[in-house]
Amino acid sequence: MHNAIRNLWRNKGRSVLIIIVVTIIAAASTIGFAIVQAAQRARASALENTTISAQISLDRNKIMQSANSSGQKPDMSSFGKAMQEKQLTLDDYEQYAKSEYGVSSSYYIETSSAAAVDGGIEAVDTNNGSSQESSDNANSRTDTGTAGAETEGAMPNDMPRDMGGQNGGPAMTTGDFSLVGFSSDEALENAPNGSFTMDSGKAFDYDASDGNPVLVSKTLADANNLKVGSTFKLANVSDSKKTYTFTVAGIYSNTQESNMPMGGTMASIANDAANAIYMSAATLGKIDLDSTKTLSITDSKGNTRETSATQLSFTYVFDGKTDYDRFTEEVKKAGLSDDCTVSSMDVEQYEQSLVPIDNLSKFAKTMLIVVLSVSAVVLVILTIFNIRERKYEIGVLTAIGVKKWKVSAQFAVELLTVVLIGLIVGTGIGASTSVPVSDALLSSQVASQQSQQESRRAQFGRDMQGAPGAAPDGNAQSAKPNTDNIQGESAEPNDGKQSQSGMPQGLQHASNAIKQVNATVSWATIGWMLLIGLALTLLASVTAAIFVMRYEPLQILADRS
Amino acid sequence: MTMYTETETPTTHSAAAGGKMPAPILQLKNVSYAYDRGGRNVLSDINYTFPSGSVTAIVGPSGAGKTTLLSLISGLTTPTGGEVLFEGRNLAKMDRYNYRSRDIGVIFQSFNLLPGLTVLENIMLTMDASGKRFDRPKRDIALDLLKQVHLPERYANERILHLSGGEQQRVAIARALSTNPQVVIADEPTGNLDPATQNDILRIFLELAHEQNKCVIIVTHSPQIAERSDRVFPLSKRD
Repeated sequence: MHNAIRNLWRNKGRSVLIIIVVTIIAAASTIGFAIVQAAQRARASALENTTISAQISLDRNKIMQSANSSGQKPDMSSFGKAMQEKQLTLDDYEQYAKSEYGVSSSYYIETSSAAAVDGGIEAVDTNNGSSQESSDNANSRTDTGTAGAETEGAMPNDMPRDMGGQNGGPAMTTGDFSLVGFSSDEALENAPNGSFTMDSGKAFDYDASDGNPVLVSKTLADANNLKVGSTFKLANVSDSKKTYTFTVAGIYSNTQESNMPMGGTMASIANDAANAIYMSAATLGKIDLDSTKTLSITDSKGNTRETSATQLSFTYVFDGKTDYDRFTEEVKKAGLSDDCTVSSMDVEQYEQSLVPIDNLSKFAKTMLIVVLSVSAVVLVILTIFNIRERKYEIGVLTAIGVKKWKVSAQFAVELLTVVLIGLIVGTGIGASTSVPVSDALLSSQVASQQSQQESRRAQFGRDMQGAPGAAPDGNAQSAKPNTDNIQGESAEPNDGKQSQSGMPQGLQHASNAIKQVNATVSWATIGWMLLIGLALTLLASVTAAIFVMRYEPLQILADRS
Repeated sequence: MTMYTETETPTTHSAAAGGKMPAPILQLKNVSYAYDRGGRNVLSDINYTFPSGSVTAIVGPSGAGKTTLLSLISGLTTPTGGEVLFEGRNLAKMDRYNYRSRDIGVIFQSFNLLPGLTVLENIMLTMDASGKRFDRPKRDIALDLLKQVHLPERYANERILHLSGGEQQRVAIARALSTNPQVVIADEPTGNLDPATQNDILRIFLELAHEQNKCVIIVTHSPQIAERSDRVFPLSKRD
């Protein structure tokens, strides 16, 4: 069929035109496919080998509804009771921490509180006490440093504020100091106040050692002249006669220092990160403040209630999304109550970050359809014109005895050749520009999402609760507003585990995905392109064939003479 | 209405052993043609035998149906009545594409060459279309044909558009001869040509018939051509 080639060569103008059209089709399609595939791949694979942390939490709405089943407004105490009853214990959590459920590892953090003792160390108060404080000490509080005082009995904050955070347990916001017990190094890496570095000393062991080794913050240490090896006493919040002695094993500094304590100005000083004392869960258990114990707390009104001594936050760690999904199924099968849900901040953040890519993918699909349809039409029209122009040629060929199907075939070969050339050139262009083009498109999507979040931050002074930008670890003990400054957030947990901190996480996911949009023009894409090329050729060839078949040589030649 | 019956037997081929006469190369039997079904007949009941080895001129005024008759004998269309027989076989029942590409050579009125191709390419086009195998390279055959139509060899790679009318006509003849057909049909071959060229072309046809024993049929309205042909087949307009 070198007739076909010769014809193409002799009619360069027309051939080039078709080549250009096909090239454009091919380029646009290549980019479109690349984007769509990258999006799919990003969704499917990015979380595959990433560590995912998840929690099981009580579904508050469900419990509220069941408490409300009589149709009347539930009172807070029955709701509170319900929550408490359904609260999962450590044993419950550990029941699900099995590898056959997909769990790679797990850890937990228990938070309790303690009060200062007379003559002992004083809590750091970086916040001017608000007028809501019911304790007399509110007025004597001044700036940083020395405010702290006994808070025996008197609670600065009697509201059952935050009835459960992520874990459904009553929040411990009483006392001067928060005592945080960690089950393992992994837990310590996900400390509630963010990652930290050791200034001196070293972290404790995880069995219950003598002397109750703890880590104190540098701020607290400086305020009370504590060094490694110093000991200090604290009292039980509900019984000031019960005291505990701790030994400073190390002094830490939070990577992210913030002046605004958790809970804002209304919070008690125990929520100030500086007043968080870290210890092993075993130590916490040793002083009888683990999650199995309860405390009686009397509020300022004189009402007493029993609450759990600690708040428990249990985290399951998975090697990838598949394991996480498996876990979600398996625990339900294993009998997890319907009041509980499995959730993961990582997965939610990731889904968020996928939004720009998904948008891009939708856009790409639409564009692809439009481009293909339009170009198919254009190609058919070009072919029709082509054939009409060459009516005479068709007449001559059939008159000298070339069968009609052979004539059609010649046109088909011509078409196929130009389509292939256009395809190769176009795919080449598409492949080389798919990266910058899709990066640009993706950046604009991400930017629009980012500006949305920034305006939100400007409006609320903090990020959305639970949105990307929530607590640095998955264990939100209370719903901490994120006061992290987006620029300042550079904290990386020590082992370089997937960063779970702050707003950049969302962007980081997106930028990871951008890198994946790179890798694109895969064999699958090329395969699709070939298919498209063949389909277009077929379409045009069939059109050509129809016309060729219709022509009668007699008519053509008669028209000429 | 034209009725012309001729029953001459072909002369130059000797009869096969056994006394059976070979069928005439081309024969019309009661051939009629109308453009539309049930419409007016352009040709009615034509009977004629075209013999090999002679030049037959089909003459008649415009509108008498010469071109139609040409279309019938070149297999471009089939008669609405009667039969066109090639070597005794009904053309309507044959593969007329093969017939056109192998068995006959037609020189159309507008030469019907492909302007985008060279002289040689045009000639070889027909050879390719026939699907025949040739004992010599097609190029060589084509060059020989150029000689036969009195064209210099250097024309071989010229584009058709660069040639004069007479030269294009010769190329058309060469192309028609390229598969060595038994029958050569020409539609007004000397239309716009000068007398010298006309002469030359006619001489070529006569050579084809007398020296190569081909059946040459020329449709013409030129009395000079008719005069110099071996036979004349007049068509007149239907009343």
